[in-house]
Amino acid sequence: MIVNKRIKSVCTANIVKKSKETHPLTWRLNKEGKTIWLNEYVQKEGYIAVKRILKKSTPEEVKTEIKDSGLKGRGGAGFITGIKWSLTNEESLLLCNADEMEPNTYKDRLLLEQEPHLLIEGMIIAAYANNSYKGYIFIRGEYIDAINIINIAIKEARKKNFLGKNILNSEFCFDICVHSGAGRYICGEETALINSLEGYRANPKRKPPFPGQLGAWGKPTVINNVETLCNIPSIINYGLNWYKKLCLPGSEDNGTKLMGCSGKVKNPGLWEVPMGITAMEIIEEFAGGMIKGYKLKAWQPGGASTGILLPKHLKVQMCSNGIRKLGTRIGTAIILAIDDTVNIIYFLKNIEKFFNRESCGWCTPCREGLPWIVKILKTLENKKGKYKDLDILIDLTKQLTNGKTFCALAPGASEPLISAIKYFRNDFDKLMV
Amino acid sequence: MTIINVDNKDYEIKNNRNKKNLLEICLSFGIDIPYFCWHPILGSVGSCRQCIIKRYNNRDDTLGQIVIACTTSAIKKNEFITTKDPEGFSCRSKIIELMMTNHPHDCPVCEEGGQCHLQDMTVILKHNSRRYNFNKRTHKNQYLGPFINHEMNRCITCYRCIRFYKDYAGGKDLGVFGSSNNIYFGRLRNGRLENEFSGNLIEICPTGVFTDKQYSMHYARKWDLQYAPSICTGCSCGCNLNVGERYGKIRKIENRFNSKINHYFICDRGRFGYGYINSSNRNRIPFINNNPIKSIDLAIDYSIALLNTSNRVIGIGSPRASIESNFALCKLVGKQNFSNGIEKREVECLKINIDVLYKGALPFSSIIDIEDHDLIIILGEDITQISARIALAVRQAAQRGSFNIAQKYKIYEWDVKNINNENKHPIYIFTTNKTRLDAIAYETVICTKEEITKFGFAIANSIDHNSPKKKLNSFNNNNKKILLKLLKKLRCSKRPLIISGCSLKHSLVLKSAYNISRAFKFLGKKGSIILNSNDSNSVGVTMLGGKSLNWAIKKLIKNKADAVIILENNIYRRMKSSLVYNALKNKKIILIDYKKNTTIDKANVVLPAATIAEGNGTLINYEGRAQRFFKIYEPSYYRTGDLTKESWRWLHALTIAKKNSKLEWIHLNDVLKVCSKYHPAFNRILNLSQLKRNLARLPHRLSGRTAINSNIQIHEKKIHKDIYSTFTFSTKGYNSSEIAFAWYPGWNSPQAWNKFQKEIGVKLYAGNPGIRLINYCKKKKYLSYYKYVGFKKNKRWQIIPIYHLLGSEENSALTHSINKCTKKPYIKISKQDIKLLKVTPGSKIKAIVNNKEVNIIIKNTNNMRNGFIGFPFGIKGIPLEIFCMCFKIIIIK
Ligand SMILES: Cc1cc2nc3c(=O)[nH]c(=O)nc-3n(C[C@H](O)[C@H](O)[C@H](O)COP(=O)(O)O)c2cc1C
Ligand code: SF4
Ligand code: SF4
Ligand code: SF4
Ligand code: FES
Repeated sequence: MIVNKRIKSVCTANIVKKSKETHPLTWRLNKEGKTIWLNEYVQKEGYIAVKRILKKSTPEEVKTEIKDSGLKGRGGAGFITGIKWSLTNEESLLLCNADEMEPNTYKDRLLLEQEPHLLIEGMIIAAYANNSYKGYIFIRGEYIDAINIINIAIKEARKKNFLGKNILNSEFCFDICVHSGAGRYICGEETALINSLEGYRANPKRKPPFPGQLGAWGKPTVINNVETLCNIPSIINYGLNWYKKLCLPGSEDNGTKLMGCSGKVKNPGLWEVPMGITAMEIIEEFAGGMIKGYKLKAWQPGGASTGILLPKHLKVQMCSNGIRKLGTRIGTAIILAIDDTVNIIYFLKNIEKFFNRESCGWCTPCREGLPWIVKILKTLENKKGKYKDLDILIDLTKQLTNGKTFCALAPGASEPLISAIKYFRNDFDKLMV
Repeated sequence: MTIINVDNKDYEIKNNRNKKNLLEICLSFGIDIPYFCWHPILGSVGSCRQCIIKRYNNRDDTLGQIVIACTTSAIKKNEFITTKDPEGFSCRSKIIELMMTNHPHDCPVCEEGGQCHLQDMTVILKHNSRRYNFNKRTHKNQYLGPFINHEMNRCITCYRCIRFYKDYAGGKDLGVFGSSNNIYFGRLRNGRLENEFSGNLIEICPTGVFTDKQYSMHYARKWDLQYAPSICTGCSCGCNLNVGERYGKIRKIENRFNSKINHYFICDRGRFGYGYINSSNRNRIPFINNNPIKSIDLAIDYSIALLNTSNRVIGIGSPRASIESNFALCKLVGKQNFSNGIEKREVECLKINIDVLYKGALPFSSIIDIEDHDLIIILGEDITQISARIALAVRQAAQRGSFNIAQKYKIYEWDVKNINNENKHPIYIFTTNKTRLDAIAYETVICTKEEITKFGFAIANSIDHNSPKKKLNSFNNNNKKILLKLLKKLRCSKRPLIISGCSLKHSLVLKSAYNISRAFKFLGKKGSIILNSNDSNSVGVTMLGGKSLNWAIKKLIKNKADAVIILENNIYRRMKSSLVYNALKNKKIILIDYKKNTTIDKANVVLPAATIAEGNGTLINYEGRAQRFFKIYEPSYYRTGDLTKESWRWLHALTIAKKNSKLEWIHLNDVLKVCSKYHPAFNRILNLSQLKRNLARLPHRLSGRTAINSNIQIHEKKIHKDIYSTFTFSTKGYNSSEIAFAWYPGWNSPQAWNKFQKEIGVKLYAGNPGIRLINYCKKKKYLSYYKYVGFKKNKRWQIIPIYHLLGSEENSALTHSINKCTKKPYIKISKQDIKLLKVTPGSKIKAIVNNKEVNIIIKNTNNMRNGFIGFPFGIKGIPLEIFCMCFKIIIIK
C-alpha cells in the first residue's frame, strides 16, 4: 500500500485556528495539505461515531438524529438530508455524489483528497441508518488523485474492518465501490448519475419515482453529496444541540460549510466557516480583499449556475435563506469575485458555452436554447449584436426555467444570464448595433 | 369518476383516474394538444416539452401553473385545465421555434411531406417566421439497408426511435450518440437495421429522418395514393394494413390500428413484402396451353370443355387463398374431391389447432392480450421469425414484470417505461434452434422436436398426474432442474400462456402444448394458449374441411382422377417434387394463380387471380378471427385488357357455365351465405356490420385525379364504379370501422389514428373490424388430454428448419429489397459435427441435396445440437422437400 505517497492536494488554505468544536470538517487537516490516512484519522477521534452507533443506536435513531439536526444537502439543492433518508424503508443502496463539475467548485475535492476517512465514516453511518449493504462513490473522472486516495483509504478501512462483513463484530455489513465518471456535468444530477452508474446514457429521469423509492437497479437509493456525508460523524459525536449552535444567528441552515473565494483576490482559497457568515467577510477577511488595481464588479455566490450579484449585495448572509432573498441560490457557496476588467458578456459566453456543451440533449429548451444563447453571445462579443437579439435572449431565459425544462441544468444555466441582463444591461447595450 | 374542465367545458372520465395522463385525456376529447415524444404505446418521457398546458388548483384560481400534459395525471376529482391561455400558447410555440432552429425545412423534397407530424404541429402552433439567424447543425447520414432512408438533419430529437427500437422491440443496432444539440440517432456503422420491426421507425419518427425507401423509389404524396383496408398475408397473425396504390402499383404499406392484433406495429415482412403484387411475373390474362388469351369467355369455355371430358376433377385449395375462393373451389369440384392443399403432417397439426379452438380447456389469446400474461412457455416455434408480431407481444409480456413494482410505487402505466427494468416475467423456450427471444428468456432449451414433446408432457404431468405419463425422472439433472424451477414459477403465475405451432409439422408438439394448457386449467389458472399456424388462412381452409395434399397427389398418381384445379398454391413447395411431377403428368390442369410458378408450363389453362390488392376476400387468422381485405384498385382502370379477377369469381364462372345457371355470386357475402349453410361457424362473418354508407378510398386532399391519365389522354377518365364493396374509387365517402387511411383535417401523419379512437391507443370508435368465429365456451366439456405416443429412435442426422422473417415466406421473398436481405444458402451444424465431417466453418461447399447441386456456406454454432443440420427454410437454392423428411445430402466440397 502506498500510504505514504505524497500527493499534492488542491489547496491548503486553512489560515484560521481550528478546533474540533468549531471546525468539525477541517480541524484534522495539516498545513501541507497531506492526506490524513487511517492511523492519523483514528488518533484524531476518527471512527468513534461508527463505533458508537454500532453499539448503541438503532438505524431509526440515527435517522432521527440527522433529521433533527436539520442537516441540509451540500450538493446544491439544499434538501434536508434526514427527510430524504426517511423515504427509504427497505434495504437500499448508498450513493456518494462526488461528480463535482460545477465550474468554480473545489470543496469536495479537498475533502476527498485530504480527509478520505471522514467521508468513509460518514458513508458507513449513512449506510447503517438506511440499511444499505453497498455504497458507491461516483467520482469525477478528472479527479485522478482523489480516486487513488479514496481507493487506498477504502483498502485501509477494510483491513481494520470498518468496511466489509460484520463491521467491528456487529451484524452490520457494508462495502464501498468507487466508480469514476467520464467527466460529464450532467452525471452530477442524481437521476442521470444513476443511469450512468447502471451503464446507460446519462440522461436524467423523471421523478417520481424518487431515487429513494426506486433508484439504481430498481433498488431504493440514497444519494448524498461528499460534504453532506462528511458532516455526519461529528453530528453523531457531539449531538444536535452542538450542531445547531454552529451557525450564526439569522441562518436557517445549521452547521458549518466549506466556503471559498476565487478570482482576483489576494488570498483565494477554501475555508470552513459557520453558515450565515456574510459574503463581505469571506471576500474581505478570508480572501484578503481584491488585489491592488482591481475593483470588485460583481460576484457569484456558489458556482457558475448561480446568479450574478453586485458589490452592494455583499452584506448578505451566506445561507440558503439569505441568498434566496436576492433571487438566487447559495449553490456550492464558493464565491467567484468578478473584477472590473472582465466584460460580463464575455464571462457569460464562457460559462454558457460550458453549460451548452454539457447539456445532455434530452429536452428541447436546453438542447436547442443554450446553443442559440451561445451563438447570440458570440455575436455580441464580436460587437455585431442587434437589439432584437436581447429580446430573444430574454425569451430564451424564460424558457429555461424550472418545470419548463426537464432537469435543473438549464435553469441553472440561465440564472447568471437573467441576472446579468438585470444588472448589466448597459454592458449589453454597448455591444449592440 | 373525474370531471375535467378543459377551457371552461366539463368532460367526464370514468374509472380512469391515475391511468391516463392529461395529454391522452384531452386528445380523447378531441382537443388538439401538440406533442412529439409521447406515443400511445411508448408512453411519456417528457423530453420534447411540447405539450405544455396550464392547470389550475380550483375554479377560482386565475394564475394557474404551467404543466407538461403528458407527464401529469388527473389526480383531483375536479381538474381545471386550459389549452387556450396566452402563456401556455406562447410556451408551446416557442418550443416549436426551438425545434425548428436546426430543422432543414426541406419539405418539398422530403418523403415525409404531406404526412408529417412535425408539419402538422408547426401549423397548429402557427409558427411561421424565423428568428434564428445562424447556421444549422448538420449530420452525415447512414446506409440503413434497402428498406429505410436516413436523413438525420431532419431530426427533432424526440427519442421516439430508440425508445421503440431498443426498449420496445429489443433491437440492438440503433443507438443515440453525442450530447447537446449534436445528437445522432443511428448505427455504429453503415448497415441494415437488423430488428424485425425496423420498418415501424418510419411511422414512429414524427419527421422525415426514417422514411420508406421502397416508397421513395416510386414516390407519390400520401394524398395522391389510393387506399383500402387490407390484411397482411405474411403469416397467420392477420395484422391489419392500409395499402396505398397509384398507377396500378402498390406504393406503400402502412400499419392499420387494430386493438387486438397489431395496434401500432407490424413487422418488416408485412410492411415491405408487397413486391410480388407489383411483379412483372404476374398473370394478368388467361393462358390456354401457354398461349395468351384476351377473352374471359374463351378461357371459361375451354376450361369447361376440359372439365366436362374428365372423369374426376380434384380441386387443390390453398391456405393463403381467401375463404371465398377455397369455398368456391370446393363447391365446384364437390367436397369429396376437395383438398385443402396442405401437407398431411401440417393438416394433422391444424386439426389439433381447430379442435382446441372449439373445445380447448383455455381460450386462445389474441396478440395484444399476450402482453397481459405473466409466464410464457414456448414449445418448438421460433415466433420471432415465423409470426414476428406474436414475438413482439411476448417481449412486452416479459417487460411487464416491472408493472408490479410500478403499482407498488403508484407509477402510472404511461410512466412505467421510465424505470429501469430488472424484473422480467419468466419466458421459457424449448426449441430446436436458438431464437431472438433467448436474450430475455429465463431459460432456453435446445433439443429435438421429440424432446420438446417430452418436456411438454412432463410439465403437464407434473402439474396434473392424470395427464399422460412422461415422468420428470426420465430427464437428466440439468433439465430436471430447469423443469422444477419452471414449475415453481408456474405455481406463482396468475395468468400463464403456452405457445406452440405447426412449424415443426409435428402434431405431438401441439398435443403436449394442449396438455399443458389443460393442466393450467386443472390448477385453476386463467391462462391462455396459442397454437400458431403457418399461413394467413390455414385455419380458415382447415375449417372448411377437405383432405390433405398427400391425398390429392396419391389420387392423381394412381390415376383415380384425371383433372385438377390448383388454386393459388405452389404445391412444389409443399411436397417432394418427384411425387408432384408424377402426379401432374398427363393430367388436365387448370391453374388459378396470380404469379407464374413451377406448375404453369404444364397447365392447360391459367386463369389470372387477384392478389389482396385487386380483390375482396376474407382471411381467418390463427385464433379464428375472420377479417376482410378490400380491393385497392381496379386493374383494368390502368391496364386495358387486364383480366385479373378474384379466384372465387373465376370458380363461380366455371360453376355456372358448367351448370348453365345464372350468376349468383356478386358480393363477398353472396359466397359466404352459401358457405355458412355448410359451415355454420362462418355465419358470423355475415354479421360483420353491413356497411351501408359509401367509404372513400382516396384522401380528401387528393389533388391530381383528373391529371392521372393526362399523359395518355387529355379526357378525364370515368371513375370506376365499385359495385362489389362499400368503398368508392374516389374521395367521397365516410369512415367506419374499416378505415382506408389514417387522415383527419389537420392530422396528416399516422398520428391521425388518435382521431379514430374513443380511448387513445386502446379503442376505435367503431370497434375492430374483424370478428372471432369461435368463442371459447367455458361451460363446454373440454378436450381431454392427448395421449403420449412413443417414437422411433432418431436417425444419426436430423434436418432442422431455420425460419427467417425475410426469405422463408414465399410471396414476400419475391420482393426485390427483401431478396437482398435474404440469407444465402447455408447449413448450420455443431462444432463437433464440423470436425466429424472435416469441413471448415465459413467455407463454401458444393453439395448435392436431393439431386440438386447447391452451393452452401458452412456455419458453426454453439447452440446447435450434435446431429442437427439446420437449413434455412424456403430460401432460394435449398429444395423445400428436404423438410418433408426425405433428404439425401452428398458433400462434394
Ligand atoms: C446539472 C446538475 C449537476 C449537479 N452536479 C452535482 C455535483 O456535481 N455534485 C453534487 O453533489 N450534486 C450535484 N447536483 C445535485 C444533485 O442532483 C443532488 O441534488 C445531490 O447530489 C443531492 O445530495 P445532497 O442532498 O447531499 O446535496 C447536481 C444537480 C444538477 C441539476
Ligand atoms: S435541462 Fe434537459 S437537456 Fe438540459 S441537461 Fe437537463 S434534461 Fe438534459
Ligand atoms: S420532416 Fe416534415 S417538416 Fe421536415 S422537411 Fe420533412 S416534411 Fe418537412
Ligand atoms: S430520428 Fe425521428 S424519432 Fe428519432 S429522435 Fe429524431 S425525430 Fe425523433
Ligand atoms: S409530448 Fe409531452 S413532453 Fe413530449
